[in-house]
Amino acid sequence: MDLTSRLRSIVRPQNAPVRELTYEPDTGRYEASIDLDRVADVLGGRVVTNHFGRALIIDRRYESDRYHGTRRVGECELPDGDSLRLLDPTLPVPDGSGSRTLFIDLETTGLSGGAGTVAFLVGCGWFDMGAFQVRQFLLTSYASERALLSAVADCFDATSLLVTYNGKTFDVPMMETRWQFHRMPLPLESVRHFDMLHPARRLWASRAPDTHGGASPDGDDGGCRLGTLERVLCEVRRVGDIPGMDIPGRYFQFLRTGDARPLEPVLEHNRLDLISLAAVTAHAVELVEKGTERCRDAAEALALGKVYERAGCVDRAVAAYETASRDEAAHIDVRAEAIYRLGVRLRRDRRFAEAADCWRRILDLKQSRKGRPHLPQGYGGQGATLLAPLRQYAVEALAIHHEHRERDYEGAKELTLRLLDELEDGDSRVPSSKHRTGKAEATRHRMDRLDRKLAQARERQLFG
Amino acid sequence: MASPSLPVLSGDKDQLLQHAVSRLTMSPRPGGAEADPIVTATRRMPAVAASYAPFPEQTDPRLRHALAARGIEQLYTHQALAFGHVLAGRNVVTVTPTASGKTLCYNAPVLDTILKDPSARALYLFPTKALAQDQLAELHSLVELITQSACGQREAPEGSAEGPAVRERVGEGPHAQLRTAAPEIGVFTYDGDTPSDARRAIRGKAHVVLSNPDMLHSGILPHHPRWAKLFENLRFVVIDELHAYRGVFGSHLSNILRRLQRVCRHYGSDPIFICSSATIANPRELAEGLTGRPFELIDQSGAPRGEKFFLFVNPPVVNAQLGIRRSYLSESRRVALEFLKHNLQLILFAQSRLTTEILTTYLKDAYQGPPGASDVIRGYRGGYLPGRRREIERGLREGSVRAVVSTNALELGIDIGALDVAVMAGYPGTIAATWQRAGRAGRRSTRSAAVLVASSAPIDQFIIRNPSYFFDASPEHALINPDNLHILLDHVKCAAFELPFMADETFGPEGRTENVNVQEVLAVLGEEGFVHAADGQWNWTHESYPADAVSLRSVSSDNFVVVDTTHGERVIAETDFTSGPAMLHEKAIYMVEGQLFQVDRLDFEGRKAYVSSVDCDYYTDAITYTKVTILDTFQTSGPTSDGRSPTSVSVDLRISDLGPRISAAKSHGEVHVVSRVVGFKKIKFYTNENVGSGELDLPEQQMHTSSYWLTIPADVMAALPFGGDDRRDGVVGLAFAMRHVAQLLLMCDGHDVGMSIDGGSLDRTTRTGGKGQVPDALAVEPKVFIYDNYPGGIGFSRPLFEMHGLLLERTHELIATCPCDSGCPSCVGPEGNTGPHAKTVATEILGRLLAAEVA
Repeated sequence: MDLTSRLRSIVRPQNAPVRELTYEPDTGRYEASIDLDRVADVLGGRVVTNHFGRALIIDRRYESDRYHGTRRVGECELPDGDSLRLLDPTLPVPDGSGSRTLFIDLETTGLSGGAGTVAFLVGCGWFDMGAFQVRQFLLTSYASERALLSAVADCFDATSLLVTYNGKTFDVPMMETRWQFHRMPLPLESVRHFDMLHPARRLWASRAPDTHGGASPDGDDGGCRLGTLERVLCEVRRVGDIPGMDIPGRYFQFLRTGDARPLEPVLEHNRLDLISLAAVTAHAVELVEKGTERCRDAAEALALGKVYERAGCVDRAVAAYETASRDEAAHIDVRAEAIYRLGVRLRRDRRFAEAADCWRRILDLKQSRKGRPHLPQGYGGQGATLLAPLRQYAVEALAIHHEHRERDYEGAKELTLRLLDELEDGDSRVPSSKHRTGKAEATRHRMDRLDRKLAQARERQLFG
Repeated sequence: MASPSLPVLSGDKDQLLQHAVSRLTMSPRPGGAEADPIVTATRRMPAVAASYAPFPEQTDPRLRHALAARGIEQLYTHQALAFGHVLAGRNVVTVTPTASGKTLCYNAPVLDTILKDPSARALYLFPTKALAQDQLAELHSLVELITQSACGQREAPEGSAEGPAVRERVGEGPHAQLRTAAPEIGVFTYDGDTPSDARRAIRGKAHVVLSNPDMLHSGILPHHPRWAKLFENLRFVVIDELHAYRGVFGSHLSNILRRLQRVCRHYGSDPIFICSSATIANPRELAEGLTGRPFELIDQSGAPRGEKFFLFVNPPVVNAQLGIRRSYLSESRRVALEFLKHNLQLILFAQSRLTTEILTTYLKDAYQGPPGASDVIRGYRGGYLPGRRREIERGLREGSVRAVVSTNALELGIDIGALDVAVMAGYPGTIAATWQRAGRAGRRSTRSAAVLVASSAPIDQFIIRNPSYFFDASPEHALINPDNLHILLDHVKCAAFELPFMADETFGPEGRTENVNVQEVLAVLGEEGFVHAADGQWNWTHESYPADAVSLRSVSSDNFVVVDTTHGERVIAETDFTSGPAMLHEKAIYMVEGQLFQVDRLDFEGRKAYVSSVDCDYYTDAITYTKVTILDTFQTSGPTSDGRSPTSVSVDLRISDLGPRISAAKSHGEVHVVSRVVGFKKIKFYTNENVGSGELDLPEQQMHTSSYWLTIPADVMAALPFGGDDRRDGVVGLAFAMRHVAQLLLMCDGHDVGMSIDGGSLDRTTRTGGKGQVPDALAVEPKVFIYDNYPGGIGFSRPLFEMHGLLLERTHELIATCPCDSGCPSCVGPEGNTGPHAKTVATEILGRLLAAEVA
């Protein structure tokens, strides 16, 4: 066997069927020539020239009165002010430099990162006189990447805020790697960055998972993919959208053939992602600004309460928990958690009596027999899974309240007995038996202490 | 062999050691004075005094003061030489024994350079994570001393004001001056255990990055843009335990270093390589082969050494007729207990994971230690989880663990303190590994002992009966084959991922012609869509992350995890893919530190074995069926059955020219090897009785590799005055002996080569027993294959082809001079397994093959 055949026999898996190639096999004996001007023509773009060479730019404008699903494009613009910091308290306060909010989304040759993964399409979007302006930078050959990066860096100038979906983990490190690869200065280093994925997870992660599954750079494969949110929140229906997993293949095909037509759906996909990012972000901002009145259901109100609490808005958090806890139609786990969080919050604010009311409310919650229209993920598929541990927590918290605040040892003892009963029922939902025995032991300690206190009190009564 | 009289020494421990050694050498021979001696050799290696040399003149005074604070006022000669070479910009490889201060050979020049130029960076590579952790502690303490002493001697007139860092620090206020007048030298490990949030900081701050080849391969090189600061300023690459990089692992590392050097060129750096190695025959050649650079060799140690005894122990023959010796495991247990009773701390090396567990059980049964201390005997092997390993290492250093039974996992320089005795249960397979293991006992000034207990394997018996072969011969060559096409292809993919290949670029040692044209490799990768040529370069055009698909240490990156289901589910160990089926088949007894588990279910697809704790008095030993098919014959010579002249003779027969002229048909070429675990035996502890067996149906494992093979001509077979079964037994016995002689001639590890007879052969996976039976009928012209036990081969077949004559001669010698009557484990295999006439037939075949030449 000559070298080439031996190499082939190793590269191709044994007995693997001959692959149907979607492209002309690349033998290295010829180089596909890519005509930049022709590509620009096909994709409706233009060629710009900078110090490093020529780069391809595709501009599109979405006027403000156009609709993206149920939402007007003009209503996707983020309001001025600090609402984003409610969603992400770690976001720095604007320092006044720059003015533009830039939405970014990349299409890459792979998801793994590393020197060999290239962002072949850099999509940028911003609002201009109420309209959404999209500018895409397409890499037409690896050799021209520096020209592209330089053009992108120019576009990033004057940006004061970056908005991405999973950009902290994916898009921004990816771009940084490209600039570092070419040993060019990093243009993004001091720009404020709002990653919509994390607030989205907090608000909507408990939704049903997306049935169209599959890992994607748009975050996870659960209910928080951008594609799921645009459908659920804005009723966007894409027609003929290219699946994310097919995108790198389209690009490699373009590199081998020089034919840009298969790239058109990729560009469109990227543009829709950018608008959806703006729309979903605007929706989230509206939600935190307007509060529970905009919530679709108790689960969302509960999630909103958690977001408020994290941002330090205690009153709004308490109000949101209240709303969720009072919703008779809500799943019992949602209500229980809302009351529990409310109680913890109130106790932390030293409103002990109100906190104790919460513990009593948890104990009064009854498992409803009615079927639930919507069972959010994380609250268990069937029936209540959160209720039992929360009830234990509530009994214990109430026992503590009676012992230490009310000094009602009889009441505390009764509650402690009840807790012991619940523990000894062998509740399978408590994670480990070790945990359970530890808990039971602590409870018995409480019992002994209460007995001593009661005896002392009786002695005082008798002799004192 | 007469034992030398032992001088009386003063130390308690030294006396205890002397007493134990004397007792062993005086052991009565069970067969009377006529029988083979039990202790076949006793060597005393006298203590060696240190030889010193001064520090190079330009050594940074802060470094000198720091070392002085540690009591190092001058260097050993080898350290000074290495330091000098590195400062002069030469690559250097140092070969020195354990505990000779080899780390200073690289730490000194690296720290010296960083002190003078704080932008300088160094990358240290260790074969395992544990070794890197060890070195991290060492470097931290050295760096701390530098910081302290730089502070303490700021007033001194000379030195401390030199260096940019000090100038920077002055004027940063009293606090900064107080804390450090030396640059803050960042030393970090970077491996799979490094938390991801710490990684970014390490990339920025580390002057010295301690890592391993696997991490460099899959975590650093593919992400080189993030490491720009390291690569732009990379001045040194330190490769410790160089000898570990042989065979497949070495061939991978060589390619990784090619990739490293490509990336360095991209960032404009050109690092110096500093390597250290245990004793092997070709350290310079290995260093040059791995890096593609010229090297200076330092092989004279200036470090002092304490006196050491080296004993060879051959278990006594208990059945002369069958050639059966007392079990070497029992004998090792006896030797170990002798030392333990004298309160000496010891390491007992076993040959495999299985024997490690068996010996741990034996020692635990026999030696309880003081009451209440249950953990004085520990087992140690790959597959134990890291926490358990660290605990055992600590116990050894602190002395609470009195004996550890280990596989070769503790052969490398993991810090387990100075032990008194190293006992080897079975010959480790190579001279280099034997010295390395013996070196785990004894440090600079104390007396120590090493004991080799021979098993009945032919190679062990050869060594134990010919002590001078071991004590006087050169150790082995470490062979690598970076151009193994499987390995090369994987790394060309990784390299293309990291940086585009230019249309005129080569991939290999600089300034030399490549063995394999990388442009041709790229063209094939282009056909499959991995790369694309445009604008004069090859770019990676694939979604995958190619480094993930490559495992540096085994055939595939797969592994099996062992899940204990006794109380809930708990992962207790893991094992690599290749040995998975043999260790984890259903009903197998799996042992962890002597605790027994039975495999309830093997989820082959999910790569999980579910085990539960059992109590039984046997262990299991898997039976593997192996079949070899010839794919391509590279060379053949010697007569064929129809008497035609040799088909081709093209190589220079360097080695066979030395012996008588021989011409049995010999060949080498490419083969396809299929192996499958087909059954197992249950073997009782202590007695080694076969107490049951079972059949298994497991998926087969396949590989393409290179092989040498002997074809026994039909007329030779036909002329044998024996029946079919006996002939078959003879060939099996011949192959059994040949494989072991081949291992000796190639100077390779036992698992580096595999053996098969055409028609397939059965082999036990461990060395605890003998051979199984060949199931199929023998061919008219039987072939004996000795193949490279790695996909693609690592270069043993051609040398073996060239040594064919010597191989037959030595095999003849081994069988003919063996004192057994009709076959034993030390020549053609135990009679019970190989058949009553195996020895006679094998001798006859060899005689005819050798005689055919003379005629």
